[in-house]
Amino acid sequence: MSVIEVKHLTKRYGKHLAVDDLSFSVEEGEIYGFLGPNGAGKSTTMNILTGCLAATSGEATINGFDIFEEPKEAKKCIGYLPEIPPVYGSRTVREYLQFVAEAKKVPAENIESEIQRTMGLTGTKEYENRLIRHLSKGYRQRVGIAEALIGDPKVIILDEPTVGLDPQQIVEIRELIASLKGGHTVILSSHILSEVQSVCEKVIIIDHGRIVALDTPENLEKTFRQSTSIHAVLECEPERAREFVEAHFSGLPLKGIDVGTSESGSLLKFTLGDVDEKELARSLFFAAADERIAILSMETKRLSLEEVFLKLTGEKTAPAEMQQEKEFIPEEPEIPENGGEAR
Amino acid sequence: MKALYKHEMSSYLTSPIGYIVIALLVMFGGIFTSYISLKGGSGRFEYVLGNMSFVYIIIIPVLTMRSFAEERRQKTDQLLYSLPLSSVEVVLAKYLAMLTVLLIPIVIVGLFPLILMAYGTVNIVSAYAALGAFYLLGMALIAVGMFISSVTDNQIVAAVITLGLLLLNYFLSSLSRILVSASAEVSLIGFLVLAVLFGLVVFLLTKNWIAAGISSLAAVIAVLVTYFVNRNSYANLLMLAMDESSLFGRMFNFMYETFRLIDAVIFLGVAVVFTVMTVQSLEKRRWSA
Repeated sequence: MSVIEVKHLTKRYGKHLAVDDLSFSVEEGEIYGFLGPNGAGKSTTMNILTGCLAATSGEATINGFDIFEEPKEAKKCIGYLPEIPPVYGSRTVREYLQFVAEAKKVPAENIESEIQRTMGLTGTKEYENRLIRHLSKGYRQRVGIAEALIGDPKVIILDEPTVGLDPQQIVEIRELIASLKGGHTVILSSHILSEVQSVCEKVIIIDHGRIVALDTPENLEKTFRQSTSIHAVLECEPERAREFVEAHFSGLPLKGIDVGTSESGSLLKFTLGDVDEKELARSLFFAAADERIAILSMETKRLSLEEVFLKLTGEKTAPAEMQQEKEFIPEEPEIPENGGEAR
Repeated sequence: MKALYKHEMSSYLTSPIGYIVIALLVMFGGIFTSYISLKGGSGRFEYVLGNMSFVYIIIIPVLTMRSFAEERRQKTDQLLYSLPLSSVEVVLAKYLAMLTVLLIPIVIVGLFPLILMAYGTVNIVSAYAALGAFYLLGMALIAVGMFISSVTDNQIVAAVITLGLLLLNYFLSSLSRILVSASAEVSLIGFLVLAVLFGLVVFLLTKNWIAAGISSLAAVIAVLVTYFVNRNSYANLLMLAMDESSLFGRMFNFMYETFRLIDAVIFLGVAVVFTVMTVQSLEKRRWSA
């Protein structure tokens, strides 16, 4: 059963399209990672799902309640930690959580146990009577997470929950998030790939307000790890190099081929799917030797998940080498364009 | 809503703001009572209230400036939006908390006529009618300040704009006297300026030039049409309008034992209109934040 259903969600700020016809569904009890570069529309989408922002068009339901039509019912099922923890500096941790619990309409007799539970989970208990403004950034973040957890909501939405934490805290918070699995549906956003990889069962990669991939981290990795690229400089004319590759590798899953010229010959770049890179290098070597084409240099390249992400999202900060490689992206990415995993 | 009200109340009463408001109002109440009643020997407590109404110019901006501007700056408004609360409930909870804070010094000042009665004659009816009006004026002004706070994310800007508006309103009656025996044309120009300003306010609220242009144009046309239809009525109209829109001026009416129900109704009306506008301002933020 899908607990969050998003259909054709669009958010426009004037001429700027922040979220562009987004559709996906989230299964109950799973942890989803919302991955994308800054400004991709992650926070905007989360703000819409939690009722903080109205959408230009489209619909979103939380636990069967339309966030625009029945906002109160929908919001009762959500715990939300925005990008900046919405804590009141002039209150103590306990006072703050008490207020949130009351506002979330937690029954009076359960409020104390809820405060204790969330403080315990987030490790904020020893600071319960401190003013929040005297807490460090990491602890404020924890109080924000406690706020999201209070009332034990079905859906927990966390916008970059580990920002500002030290490495030890990051591990703790990731463990906490992982422990929510099963009983809660969690969506967390991040631009840190390893974080998403370590805690999430599904990854939604978003860029320019559009979903570019939705799959399990393993599948995403597999899809792209299957691609092996070879960059080789061959001492021949570019046409001949192309003919040569097409003739010798036609039996293999050739995904892309690009031939340019370099100082000493033809620069050949080609990508093959699901091939052992060592085997590929060897067969290229012998094939070239048979054709009496000298290989002046050869390099095999594998795509890491980081590179997959950068390529999918067209991030400009890629290292120079990768920028060069960018033109070499296969026209059609292997992963489905829009929610291939959606059931 | 109750939770937010409680939260707001304890915010006011654990920060200096609540106490500044309470202390200033009680202090000026004391000073004016000493001056007018004890020293001047007047049993008319409504004089005290009318004269001390200027205190609102200072305390209302202090009380209202944080209400929404600070939530926006600290991004805590996102918590309020994501809690199961409607915008109406958020605004009402905050508004009621501010009204409660104001009620504390009003109740204390309300004891003064009783104390005075021990030493002389006090017209208790007009004293408490004026006290009621004084509170209603406070309700109207708090709504104005709350609205201003909801359109900015800087509490100092909110405070300064509110202060400016209250100051202008305070002197509006006196300022209107400049226009005694002004010609119809002066009124016309005044109203045309107001019509253009109206468009500007619409623009500031909607950030939409078309809406602003249309509302401004409609106002200009309305002014011109009424002017050409009934030119004579335009003489002194601007003065009259200024006088009528002075909320403080209405408070002064109570000083002379002229209890007019219309004044009380207008205080309440202003309170309702600005509270509704605050709700609209929050709703608009959800669309374009």
